[in-house]
Amino acid sequence: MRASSWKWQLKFAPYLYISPYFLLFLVFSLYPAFYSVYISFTDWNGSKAKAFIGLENYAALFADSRFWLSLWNSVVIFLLYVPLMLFLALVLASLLNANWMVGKGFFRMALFVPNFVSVVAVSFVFVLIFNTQDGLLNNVLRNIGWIGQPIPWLESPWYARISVALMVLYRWLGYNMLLMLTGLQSIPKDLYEAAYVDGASKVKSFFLITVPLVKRIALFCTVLSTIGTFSLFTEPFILTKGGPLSSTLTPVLMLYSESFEGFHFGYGSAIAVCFFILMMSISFIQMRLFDDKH
Amino acid sequence: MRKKGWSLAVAACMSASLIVSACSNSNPGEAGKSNEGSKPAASSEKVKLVVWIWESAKTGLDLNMDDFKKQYPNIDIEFQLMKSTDLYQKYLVSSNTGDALPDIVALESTNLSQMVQIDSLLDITSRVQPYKDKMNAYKWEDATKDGKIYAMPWDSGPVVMFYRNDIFAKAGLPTDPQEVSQKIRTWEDYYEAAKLIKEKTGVLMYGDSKTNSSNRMFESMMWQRGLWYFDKQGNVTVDSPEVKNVADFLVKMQKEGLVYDARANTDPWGNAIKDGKIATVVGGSWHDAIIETQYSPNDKGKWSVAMMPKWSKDDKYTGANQGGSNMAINKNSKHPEEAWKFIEFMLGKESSQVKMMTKAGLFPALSTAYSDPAINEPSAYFNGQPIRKVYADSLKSTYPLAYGSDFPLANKLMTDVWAQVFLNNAPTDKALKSMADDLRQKTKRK
Amino acid sequence: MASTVHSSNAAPGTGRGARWLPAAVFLGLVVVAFFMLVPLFWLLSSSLKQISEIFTNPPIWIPRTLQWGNFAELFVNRGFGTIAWNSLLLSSVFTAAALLLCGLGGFAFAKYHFRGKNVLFMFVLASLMIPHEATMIPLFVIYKQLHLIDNIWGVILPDLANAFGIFFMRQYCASLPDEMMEAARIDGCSEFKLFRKIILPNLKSAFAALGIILFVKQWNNFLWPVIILRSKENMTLAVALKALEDSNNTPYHLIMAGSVISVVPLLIIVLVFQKQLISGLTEGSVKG
Repeated sequence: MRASSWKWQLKFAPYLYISPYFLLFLVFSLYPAFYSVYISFTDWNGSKAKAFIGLENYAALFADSRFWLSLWNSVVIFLLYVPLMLFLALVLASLLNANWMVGKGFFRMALFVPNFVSVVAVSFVFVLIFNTQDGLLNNVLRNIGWIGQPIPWLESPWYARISVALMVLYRWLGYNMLLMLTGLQSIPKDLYEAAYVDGASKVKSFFLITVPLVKRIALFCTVLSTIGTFSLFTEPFILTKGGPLSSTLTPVLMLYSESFEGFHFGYGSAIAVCFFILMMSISFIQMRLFDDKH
Repeated sequence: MRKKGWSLAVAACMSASLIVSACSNSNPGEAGKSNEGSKPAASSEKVKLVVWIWESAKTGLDLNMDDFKKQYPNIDIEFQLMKSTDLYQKYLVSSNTGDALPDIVALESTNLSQMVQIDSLLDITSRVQPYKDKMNAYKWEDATKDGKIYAMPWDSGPVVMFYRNDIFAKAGLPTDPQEVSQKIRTWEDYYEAAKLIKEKTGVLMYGDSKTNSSNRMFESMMWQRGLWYFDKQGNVTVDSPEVKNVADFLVKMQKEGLVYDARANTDPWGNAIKDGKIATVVGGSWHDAIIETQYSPNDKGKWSVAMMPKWSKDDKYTGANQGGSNMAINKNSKHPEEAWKFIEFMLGKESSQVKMMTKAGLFPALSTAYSDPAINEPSAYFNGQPIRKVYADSLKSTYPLAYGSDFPLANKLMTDVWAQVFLNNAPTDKALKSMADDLRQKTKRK
Repeated sequence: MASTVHSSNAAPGTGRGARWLPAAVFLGLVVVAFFMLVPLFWLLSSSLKQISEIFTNPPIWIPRTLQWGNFAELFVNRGFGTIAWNSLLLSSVFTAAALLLCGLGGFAFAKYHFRGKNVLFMFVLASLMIPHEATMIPLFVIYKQLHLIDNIWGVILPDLANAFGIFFMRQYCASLPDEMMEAARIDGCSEFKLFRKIILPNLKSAFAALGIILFVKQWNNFLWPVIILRSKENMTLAVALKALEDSNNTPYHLIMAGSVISVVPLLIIVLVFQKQLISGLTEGSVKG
């Protein structure tokens, strides 16, 4: 009796343990994902009856210049901050990895704090900082005589993109630095010593040991940043509302405003499906990049 | 056995959340009493009404709350404050989900028609009958759909020209409101005055953002001539030559550096007013309180009010409306009777409206309130000028125009027209044309 | 103890360089840290200003009279007491529930052999690919039927199925010794008791690491809450900050004060748990 119940338990327990996850996943993720595809074939405002219209939403979306612009904006913002951020993160990580550095804990924390401070709060601070006429940044630059005319940080397309990029950089620099730092610290010391014994110069061992590893982490960070940039919402939502001239409109911002400001659920779902496919492709590329070399 | 325990737990979780949500969707303790709203107020049943409103509008209502409580001790009012744009968005969600809350919404005329179109407001046609002729006529159109009326007018925003008489004096312009109105009769005169003021004092004529304009100046200039984004039939007309002329005028002002580059009614704009960098504010009457208390409290006596300039001397109308609000009842409200009582008390009663006019700067849409002596009261801050008289005059000669249901979208798209012109050097007619096409496509209009 | 990327000693032969290089590097770090902290200082300073001191030239770094009234205004008149409590409640309940589910799931995937295990785990990994943003519209519609709109459970539920958390706990559970479990089973421990008595106590440090990440994430969650939380009674801090905005005159001093309220508790938690946070963040990503 005992034994059989024990066996039965052993068989059954794991299913019981994973069932809440799968239940929630089905209800709140998988089913909505399919439902989303279905809604995207309809014209629907959420309260009246759905009208099936086939691929019309997609046709309209692909003809909508704002949609392509939102993707292009993401690419631009990505290029504006990711290379710079990775470079800075690497430099800072290697400095903090040096054994003679004092105050490591403080610097690590100072760099990392912006990452967990509420995005909404940081965005509002940057609204104050980037204000054209009376913002902190322009006032300081004017008072030290670097600029004569105020820079329209949030009021011209390129500056607005730069501002959003700067803010994203500000928030994610510390996080990427941590990843790099962890990577650097994971290199076993004896690797270097072995290389040294083999007569490899410092420079050579740097290129043989450090560079490949850093490359791998940088790649990982790049993938994370890609996903992050295409999913940007809060920063442009508060800083610029996607303006001026939709220069900081992002796919998620467009999805939000179509769905929950305009209540075009069909059109919004078409954006959601495209967004989903985009994210899938990025994840897929990520797997290909990291699978073949363990 | 254990499985059962687990599913029980899930069920408990689920039901707990349902109970929580059930409570949050009705007034605690009021659940299940939905039918008692229609009882006469004589019963000792307390009714709570939830009102969604933004801050400056609530300030007006607060003035009358004590009187209201005296008259209706059984109606409790709970104000929920939010930014007006958030309010519309949340109300759209509410109506989409069929919520009974809020009972009452305040709605700016700019967004009223849009809200009327979504069929979530209560039809109050029969209730507003006594007020049909007492309110400014133009207010009803936006409140109407298919001949039914869904909102009660609150206040109007007759557009006038607030100007700094000390700066005018420095520039050698007249300072007396009558003389100013004679000197600056048309927009062309306004432009000449702007050049003169900049040359003599360095002060700019008004504040408006090149890339993030609220379009208020532009819309007032259209309104006074009966031009709009749409015509009476609802077709898009923003690419008409007349509108282009208006736009060209404003572009000229900007390009000649006569305008302070900040969006109207933001802090930087207010700071410029405070620092005396801006000579005029062409805007709704409700600016008086803002100028007096917020932006220019130390400049008592330096501001005066005159009529807004016209496009041409022969134009029939001179005034325009900017903003103004209304109140409406949620179709799903459980207490429509009490809600109407509240609205009628606040907006239909002369004494309530006069109080809001004198103490909160809300100029009534209720025209019977204009016979009140308060209209001729001199304003200490505005140099002893009876400014409400100017508002009333402006209102009398305002073109009867409505915002229309797609105004919010049109306004949003218009902001980008200026940005196209100033950032990309697009010609105005081209920018207006592409915006008009965009608007036609999005709203399925002609 | 060689440093990795480049040697801390200057190139051989430039003995003099070795003395100023560390100082220069240190200075560089100070500059970077300064830029990182200025916005946060500006946040704090602006939260104690009057509205008229927010946009000024020259900028006011330290307000002449500290406006503690801003905080009073938020708590007394704008319901921030309730709002802060909502944030705390939501984040705590979510974290506790998610940890339990991830602990159970991760443990099952790590320590049991059962039919379909690999397929199911592939599912978990695949679910990482469904971005939340793509399911907002259907969720909103489902919520209308379930009355979960304007309800903090509506924020908690979709995030509970946390694939990253399952993955994280599986990695950790895999390192627990099997003998421990076998011994308990021989003593006649039921499976559930085994988890409760033996496994849970051993997962403490993993829970701390994962928990702090989940807590911080939920505390700062914005997109979904801003869509569904609508009344003051149910708002979280992030949503309430946005709700303070006004079309005409935004009370930035209050927004900043509200931001301080949303940042400070988190700052304390993070400083206390920084080790767990950093290990948790890097654990799941860089497999060294």
